[in-house]
Amino acid sequence: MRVHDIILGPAVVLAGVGLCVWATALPQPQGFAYGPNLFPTLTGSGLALAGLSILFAGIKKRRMGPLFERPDWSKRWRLAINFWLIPVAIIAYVLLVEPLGFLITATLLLFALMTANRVHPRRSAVVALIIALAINLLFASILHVPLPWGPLTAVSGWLIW
Amino acid sequence: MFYSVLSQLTDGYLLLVILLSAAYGLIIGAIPGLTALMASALLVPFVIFMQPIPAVAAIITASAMAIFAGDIPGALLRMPGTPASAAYTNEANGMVHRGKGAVALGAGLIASSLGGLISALVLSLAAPSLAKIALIFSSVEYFWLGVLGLSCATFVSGGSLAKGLVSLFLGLSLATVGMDPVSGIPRFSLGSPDLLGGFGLIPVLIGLFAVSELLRNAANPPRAEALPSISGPILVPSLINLWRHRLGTLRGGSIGTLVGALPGAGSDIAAWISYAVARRGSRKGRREDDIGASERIMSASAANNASLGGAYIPATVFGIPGDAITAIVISVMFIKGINPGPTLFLNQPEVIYTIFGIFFIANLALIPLGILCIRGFGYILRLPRAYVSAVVLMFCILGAFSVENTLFSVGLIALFGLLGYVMESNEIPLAPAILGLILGPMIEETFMTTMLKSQGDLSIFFDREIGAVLGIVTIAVWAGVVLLQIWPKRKLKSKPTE
Repeated sequence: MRVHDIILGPAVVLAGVGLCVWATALPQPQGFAYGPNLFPTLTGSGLALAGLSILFAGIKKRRMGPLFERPDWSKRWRLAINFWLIPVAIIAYVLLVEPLGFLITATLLLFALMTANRVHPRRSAVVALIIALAINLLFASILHVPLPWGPLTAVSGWLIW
Repeated sequence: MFYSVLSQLTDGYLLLVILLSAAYGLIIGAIPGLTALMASALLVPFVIFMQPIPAVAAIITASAMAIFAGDIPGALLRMPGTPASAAYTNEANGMVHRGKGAVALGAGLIASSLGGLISALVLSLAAPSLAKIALIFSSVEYFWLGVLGLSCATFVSGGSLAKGLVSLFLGLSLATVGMDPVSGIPRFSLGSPDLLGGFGLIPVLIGLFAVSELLRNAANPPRAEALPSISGPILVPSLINLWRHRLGTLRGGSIGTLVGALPGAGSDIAAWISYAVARRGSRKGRREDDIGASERIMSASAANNASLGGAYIPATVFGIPGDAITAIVISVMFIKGINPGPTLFLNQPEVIYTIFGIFFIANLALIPLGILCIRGFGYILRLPRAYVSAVVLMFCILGAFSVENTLFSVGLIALFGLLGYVMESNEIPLAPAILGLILGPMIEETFMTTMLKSQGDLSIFFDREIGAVLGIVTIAVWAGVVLLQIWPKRKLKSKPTE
C-alpha cells in the first residue's frame, strides 16, 4: 500500500499536531522546570515538521505516480486472503486462547494458515495437530510458559510432566 | 578470572545451546525472507527460561549464523536470505553461474568468520578501556550519547531524510506512552493498565520486523527456482582465497566493526559500505573477473558479520544498543539480572568476558557448520513454506506472550506488523523507530534528572568536558547533515546542462 507524499505528509503533520494537543491535557506537577508534556510536545512537533517537509517534496513531484497505489496482491483474492489471514489469526488467538485453550486454538489457526496456502485440508489438519501438540508440550513442560488449557484442563496432567 | 571464564565457556550445556542455536540460525538465515533479526526475536521465549550466559550465547550464535546463511540463497537463487547479503548477491550469483559456486560461498564463509573474529577481538580489547571512561559519565553524557545514537540511526537509514525523521519521531512518540519516568504521571495510556508500562520492546520488534515480513511474503510468494548444484571442495580454495584477499577481508572486518558500533547502522549498511570501498578503493576490487568479485564478496561478507560484534561495544559499555539485535540482547540481559553498562565490567567481569568468548566460539564454529549448511541447502529449501510460515507466526505469537504474559502484547504484534508493512511500502525505514523506542525513555530520563540537578538551567549540558565534546559532536553531525541536504541541490542547479 503506497500513498503519494502529498497525502503521507499531511497525515504525519496531523498525527504530530494531534500529539501536541493531547500533551497539553497532561497534568503539570509542582516544582518541576519541565513537566511530562515536554517530550510528547517535542516529538509531536518533530513529526509535524518532518510531515511538512514530506508534503513540500510531494508538491514538487505531484505529477509523479498515482495518489494511491493499490498493492498487486489485493487484486488477487488468494493472495489477499493470505495477507489478511495473518492479522486475523493473531486477533483470533487473542480472543480464543482463553476459552478454547492453546492446543485447540493453535490447531485451528495452523490448519487455517496451511489450508490457505494450498495444503490439502486432511494433510494440514494432521500436521496442524502434531505441530500444536509439540509446541504445547515444549512450552508447558520444558519452558514452563503458562499456556491456557481451556476445556482440556482436566486432562492437561497427562501432557505435562 | 581466566580459569572461571574458561570453565564457563567449556560447559557442556553452554556448548549444546551454541550448537542448537547455530543450526537454528543457519536454517532461518538460509530461508529467503526470514532475517537474522527474526531469528533472534523468535529465540526470546526459549532463552528467557535459560541461565543468563546461555541465553545471550543463543542469540549471539543464531544471529551470526543467520547473517552468513543469508549468503547461500543469495548466491544460488539470487534471493538474499537476509538484507545483509543483498550488497553482493549479484556478484555471488554470477560466480555460481560461471561454475564457481563453491569458491564464492567458501570465500563468503571464511570472510564472515574472520570478520566476526576481528570484531570479537576489537570488542574484547576496546570495551574494557571504554568502560573505564564510561564510569565517570553522568546523566549529561548519557543524554548526549542517546541523542547522538538517534541522530546516527536516522542519518544512515538511507533514503529520504524526512522519512527517516518520521520514523524516528514515531518511535520517540511511542516511547512516551506509559508512566513518565520522573513524575510517574501516566501519559496516553487511555486508562488501560496494559499501557501504563509503555509498549514492550519485544512485541513491537516482533510486529515491526517479523510479522511485517510474513505479511510481505504472504503477498508476494517467492517463485520456485531450479537450484544450481555446487561441486568441488570448499575449505581449501577458501583458505587460499583468504590469503589472497587478506587485506580486503581485514578492511571489511574493520569497517564492519566500526559501522556496527554506530547505533542504528546494522549489518546491511556495513556490507554496502564495505562493498563500495572495495569496489572503488582497492586495485583487486576494481577488477571485473572472479578475483575482483571474490575481493568484493569477502570485504562485504567480513563487514556484515563484523558489524554484529561491533554493535556489542556500545551495548555492553553504555547499555545503548547498536542495532535491533543487540536491543533484544539488552532486554534479555535486564530480564536475567545482568545490567549492561560500565559497572558490569567492574562487578561481573567474568560474565562480560564469557560473553566476548562466545563470539570467538560462534565465529570459529561458523566454518564447519557453514560448510554443512552449504552442502545441505537443498534440504532446507525443500522445507515446505506453507508449514514454515504458519509455524513462524505461531512462534511470533508465543514470543510476544512469553515475555510479558499478557494477551495485549499478542494483539500488539498484529498492529505493529501492519504498521511495519505500511511503513516499508512507503519507504519509511524501520530502524530509527526502534532506536527511538529504545533510547527515548533513556534520553527523557537523563534530560529530566539533569534538569532537576541544575534547576532548569540548560547550560549544564555543556559544563562538563566530555559532555560538552559529545554535545558539540552531536550538533556538528546535525549541521553537517543539513548542509549536505542543501549543498548537492545548489550544485545541481548551477550546472543544469549536466
